[in-house]
Amino acid sequence: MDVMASHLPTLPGEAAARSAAGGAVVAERDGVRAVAALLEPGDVPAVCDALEAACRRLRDLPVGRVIDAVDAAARRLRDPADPTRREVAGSLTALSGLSPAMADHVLARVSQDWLAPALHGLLDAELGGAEAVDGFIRRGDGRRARAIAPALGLHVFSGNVPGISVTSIVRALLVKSAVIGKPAAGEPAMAAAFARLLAEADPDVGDCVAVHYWTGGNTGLEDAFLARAGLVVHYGGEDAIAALRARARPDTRFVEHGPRLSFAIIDPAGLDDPAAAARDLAVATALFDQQGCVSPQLAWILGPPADAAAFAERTADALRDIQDTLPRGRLDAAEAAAIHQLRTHAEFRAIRGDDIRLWTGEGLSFTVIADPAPGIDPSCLNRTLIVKAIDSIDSLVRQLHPARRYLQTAGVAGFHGNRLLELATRLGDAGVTRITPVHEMPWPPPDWRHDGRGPLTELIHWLDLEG
Amino acid sequence: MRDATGRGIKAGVVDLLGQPLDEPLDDDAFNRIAVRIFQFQYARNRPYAAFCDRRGVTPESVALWTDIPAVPTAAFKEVALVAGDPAEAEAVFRTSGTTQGLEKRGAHHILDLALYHFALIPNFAACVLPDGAEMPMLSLVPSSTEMPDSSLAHMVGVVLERLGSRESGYFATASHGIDDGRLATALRAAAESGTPVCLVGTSFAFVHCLDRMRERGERHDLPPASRIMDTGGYKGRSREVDEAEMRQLYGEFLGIPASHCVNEYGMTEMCSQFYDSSLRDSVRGRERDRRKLVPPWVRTRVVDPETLEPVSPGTTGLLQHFDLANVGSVMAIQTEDLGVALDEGFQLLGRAPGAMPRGCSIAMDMLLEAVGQQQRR
Repeated sequence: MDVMASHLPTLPGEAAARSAAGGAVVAERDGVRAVAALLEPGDVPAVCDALEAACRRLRDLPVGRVIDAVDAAARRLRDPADPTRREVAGSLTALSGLSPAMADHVLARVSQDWLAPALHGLLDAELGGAEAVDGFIRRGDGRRARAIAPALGLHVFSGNVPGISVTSIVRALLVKSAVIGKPAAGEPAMAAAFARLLAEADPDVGDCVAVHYWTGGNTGLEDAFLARAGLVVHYGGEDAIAALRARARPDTRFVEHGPRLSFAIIDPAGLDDPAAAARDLAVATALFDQQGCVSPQLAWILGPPADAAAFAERTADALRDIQDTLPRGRLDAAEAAAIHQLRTHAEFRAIRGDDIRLWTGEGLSFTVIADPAPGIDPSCLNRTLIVKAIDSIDSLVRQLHPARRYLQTAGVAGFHGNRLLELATRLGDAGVTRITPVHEMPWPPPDWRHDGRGPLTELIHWLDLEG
Repeated sequence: MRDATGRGIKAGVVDLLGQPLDEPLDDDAFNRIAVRIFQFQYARNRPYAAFCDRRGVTPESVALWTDIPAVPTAAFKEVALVAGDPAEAEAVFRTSGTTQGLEKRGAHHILDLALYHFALIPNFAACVLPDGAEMPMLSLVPSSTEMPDSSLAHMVGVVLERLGSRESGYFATASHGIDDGRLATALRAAAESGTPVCLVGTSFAFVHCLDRMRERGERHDLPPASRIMDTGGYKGRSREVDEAEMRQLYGEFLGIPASHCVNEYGMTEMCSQFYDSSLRDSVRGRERDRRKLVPPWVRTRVVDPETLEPVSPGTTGLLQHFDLANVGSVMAIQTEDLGVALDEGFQLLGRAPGAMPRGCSIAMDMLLEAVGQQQRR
């Protein structure tokens, strides 16, 4: 099966002819090939001209058209019988390495955010309603304001959480900004498939989205797009972001979602059902095989080390069950070696006499390590959870300090009322930007302030009209 | 080795170390001694015995060398894996730290340096000096007196002393790096006198060295039969250059043909080393793809990275070595090096790169670095 890693509705004739004769194979595995068009830097101005023209047309249309088109495309991705949905799911398992159960689960859940009610909610929460992008909204005192987004944005997606690409495209369309999206090699197909579904639902909306894969660091294509993009949205590693940022125009709005560290903090004394809390933590660890920025890498358990070990054991039991229903995906050699290495360190520390404990699933399906040593020990991901005892929130805040700039989601369980408020204040001071019940960790609401910033407001500027 | 059993086993191993490189040990012979070594190590090496117990493996359950549990190299960072008293080690070699300088260093306790030398010398001679040549060895590795922890420095010291000619010497120090001037003089002298030389060093040292030669416009046309033995990865200490490009540069700047470039693959945790087949094959007029040769007293298996079970022939996996010369520590070593098995050896495909998250979750290295920066302040 061939899946497309490009969707270029306005590809200039010559490039289209070139690509029709045979595209570039981006990834190939288990009978699935992702193929990209053959785009040259010289083709880019025409692609951008067409996207900007489509964006101008979109600005004269109500945003309701965007909502309807996105909703229709999302419904097709949610329909197991739809051929595009089958193509996307096939690519997620063969090329991204997700287990089929995980691909289905994530696709069903993440696409909820693209349905009309979620989109209306997002516009309301972020911009006070659809009016702010269709025209001026009233601000009181007779003042009015309008949300303005750059006509064209370059979006660079990461491949860790399926659907990040689509969410990024949808956010831009809601503020009427055209998109050139660059998918990750690890998830090459979903963005292009979604763009195609959009175009089928409403060509006026579809014309605002182009998707094309190229190898990162292909400066010819990148520079050609950067010359035209008034907005860059970049998901990915620090080095890749820094490299692109250095080459972006100084007036380009640069929105980055770089690497993050998320964790859980749990007070067993405040839990009604510790087994359920451990299950929640296990699910949060297992989803996306722990590759999400929202995935917990560590869990701190308030109390003595014995309590932490007991909670770790429950979590390990739950991870073992999850392996049956939502199996871990494929590992590459480096990922497997990293897990073996982490296990070895733990095992030999135990042999040496340290009070460290290790629970492992069959093969490398999961690893839970209860480690009494203080400090942040990063996980190597793919369902590897480090559990630590902590005696106070003060010491947690101290231990978090070195990782301050990376902190994102803190999943909380067993804290209530004023204690929760107090904890939230302390974690906020420590650099955390999202605090949520552990079971909500993987699924932030559509209007969450991703890394502390509004998902639509970070794309726009306001035009104030006074008097 | 003070232990009587250990001395008995050592004597058996030493016999094997005299084995010509092309005469592989049959499985029975390898088994006999491997199982004896395992019993010895299980009895004397407590952490290793605990590791085996956790896997339900005891001397009673081991009939074949393939039953012997391989210890991941990471373990050498946590415990002294020595079949005896660590205090009696004649040398302790340590792995180099990473650029962050935070990671613990692994330690390999060598109870018996003589055994180490027995494994080193014939193998080096067979692969780097297969023509029986005796020539000046010019080392870009500092001497072992400066770097007593380094197995490589020790190895080079022994090789220079036992196999090099009188003109052999060191052209680098730990504190000042490579002495470009002296090296250039020695290389010019070799070229003028027609005396072939053997250059020895790490790949990253050669990268630096060749970069500076390029800047100075310096080139040498070393006499035929000159050769180079390079070793090791780059670990972020120089720009990364792949092996084929390195060989091309050796040709361009030193006049050494690819056949005379021998890459060594050694590990602090092993007493035996592996060398490219290229020079040995060239001397014997044999044409085949370059590979790392496995000496008769070592068995190397390629295992699946996830299950650690052997892979089918031709499949890439992690290398697992069973080194009989490791009598005094642990014979069975699980590496993080990727390779593929070939006739009489294997192709080394490099270290499994640090696992990188696929997107916005922070990588282990990056976080360790951030934590380390804070701690150093």
